[in-house]
Amino acid sequence: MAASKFQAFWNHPAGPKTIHFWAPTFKWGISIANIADFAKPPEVISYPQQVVVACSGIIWARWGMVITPINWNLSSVNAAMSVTGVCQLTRKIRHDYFSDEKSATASLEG
Amino acid sequence: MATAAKAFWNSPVGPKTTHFWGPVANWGFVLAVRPYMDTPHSLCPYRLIIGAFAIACCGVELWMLSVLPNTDTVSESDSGCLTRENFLDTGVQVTLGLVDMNKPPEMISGNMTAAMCVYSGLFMRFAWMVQPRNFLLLACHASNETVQLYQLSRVARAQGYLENKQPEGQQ
Repeated sequence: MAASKFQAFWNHPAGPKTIHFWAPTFKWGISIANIADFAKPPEVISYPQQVVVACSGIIWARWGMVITPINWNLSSVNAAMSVTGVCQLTRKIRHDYFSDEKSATASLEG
Repeated sequence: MATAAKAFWNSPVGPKTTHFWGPVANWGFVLAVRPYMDTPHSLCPYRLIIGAFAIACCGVELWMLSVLPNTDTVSESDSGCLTRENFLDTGVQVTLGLVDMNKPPEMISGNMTAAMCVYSGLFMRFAWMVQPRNFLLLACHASNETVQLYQLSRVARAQGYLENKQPEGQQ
């Protein structure tokens, strides 16, 4: 029973033998890299990159929900990605504009 | 000669369609950002021309956004075709990838850059294999891949990984 289900998954036209599986699956790597970067100081966070991560995630999360059939895999990975992007942006904005004046202005000049 | 020109003009991916102007507009947008990443400069003619071209491309991009189908209207078999979401996403990625090229290497995240390199490589393959073939997505990820590999090399160099082999190790 389990074997045949696994066979069905393994041989699926969008299964692990195809790019249609690995491309969205690897997108989790971007979220994981971003979560690893939570440990880095806010000065090294890049505004453009995190904006891309957040916006791209939101665009594709919505796309996954409006196509037929709904692609939960794609939507979930992109939603998670955009959440990590927004978290990083929050950290950076908080550091640049809402923390004490001295460190904020120093990093803005840098 | 004239027939070839006519064939191009009337082509389903020619200058009367969004399939042509999309990639052109994206690259114009991308070129536009580069000069303005440096310190402020006087109004040299080169920058004025690039700026005017960029503004024209932004106009084209806005027009394209208005004529592209929303993904809801596109069927599953057409899933790789040019939609608003594809277009926005590729534009956002390519532009902001290039904006980051001047950052000092200490500010580049090795984790993210490496993840981006694998991600864009996989999606270049995806864009190629999807039905119908999605050349805009392919071009977007090819350029992101290039930029991310360059950034990765800058990080590696700054951390001493790309030095010539010497008797004493770097670190």
